[in-house]
Amino acid sequence: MASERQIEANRRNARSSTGPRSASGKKRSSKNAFRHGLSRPLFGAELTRELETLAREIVGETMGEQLVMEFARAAAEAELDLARIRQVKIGLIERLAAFGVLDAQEILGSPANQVARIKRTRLDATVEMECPVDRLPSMPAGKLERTVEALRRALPELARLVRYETRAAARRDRATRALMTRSEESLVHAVPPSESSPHSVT
Amino acid sequence: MLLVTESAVEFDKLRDELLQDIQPQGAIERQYAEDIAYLTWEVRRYRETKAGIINAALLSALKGILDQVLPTIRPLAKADDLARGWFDDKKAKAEVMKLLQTHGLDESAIAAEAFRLRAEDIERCNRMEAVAEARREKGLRVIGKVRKKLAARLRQGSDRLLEKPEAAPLVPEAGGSD
Repeated sequence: MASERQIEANRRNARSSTGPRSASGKKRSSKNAFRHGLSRPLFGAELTRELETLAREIVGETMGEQLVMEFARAAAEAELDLARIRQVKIGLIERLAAFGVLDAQEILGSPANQVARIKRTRLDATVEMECPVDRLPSMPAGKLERTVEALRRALPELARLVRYETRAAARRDRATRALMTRSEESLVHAVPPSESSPHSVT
Repeated sequence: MLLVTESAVEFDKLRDELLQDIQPQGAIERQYAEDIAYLTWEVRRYRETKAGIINAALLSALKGILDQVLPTIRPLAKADDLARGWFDDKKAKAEVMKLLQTHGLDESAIAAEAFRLRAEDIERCNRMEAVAEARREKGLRVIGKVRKKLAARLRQGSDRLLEKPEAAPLVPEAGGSD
């Protein structure tokens, strides 16, 4: 565990950090959020409908005021993001269970090798197209063992996805808190205490 | 959001039990309750994965140990055969145990070596499990807060009703007016 001094030093260093300096570093970091396509805003008519339905569910049967609806939409958007990230996680693991790797090039080899294989396949009709599944001898044969190995191989990618997931969950929590506070305020303003309490009347 | 090897029936059972315990009221509570079910499943998934990772590394771990404990004059292939045999051949297992004992080792040395080989993966699993656990706790806290606020609102509402001046009796009291 880092000592107080180390933590303070890290903070100082972080404050003085100006981010990536080289052109390639800047280019790479600018795409960080898009690596999995998870930071893009929701779009498309179907998603908008889904978002609106969920927001209305959150607010309740009766439509709330505009600001309450905005908080509900923010919570709904984060909720849909969470669902999407979880689907991506499952997709990654399943793909690794099927192919052993995520990068097609790792299965098919270099582009030169791919061209050579296609040529060979065309010239010799008896050569069957190789199935990428099970090409990696290191993948276990049993279904469960294969899933465990796939999850193990997916761990670095999953760790990145967990960061997106945590951020989406934090957005949903913030929106939910704001929604609850705003709903409470609306309720208080709707019935002023002076009207409801006889003790306040002089 | 389950893996093909995971049981939907088991997940539904876990989810139903949790929903039964939490008894969510309204969409927000339901969302968080569903989330808690998912996160509980995920924690379980990471735990099972850790056990699976260690199990899968046992063969390599045993091979590594046998390479060290076998007399150097023996061919390396012998270590491979013995390591494979340890899982399903009683004779090979007995030989392995004897070899381990001569060096003051036992079966726990194999598990320890498997852990050492996969320590980085186990650590990653632990970190993700901890994140899921923390979010599950937070979900429960949010439900608690929502209920507290709801309870406060209900209390406020009922207090207002209590504080309202008593309604005039429907039937005037006898002799009450001139």
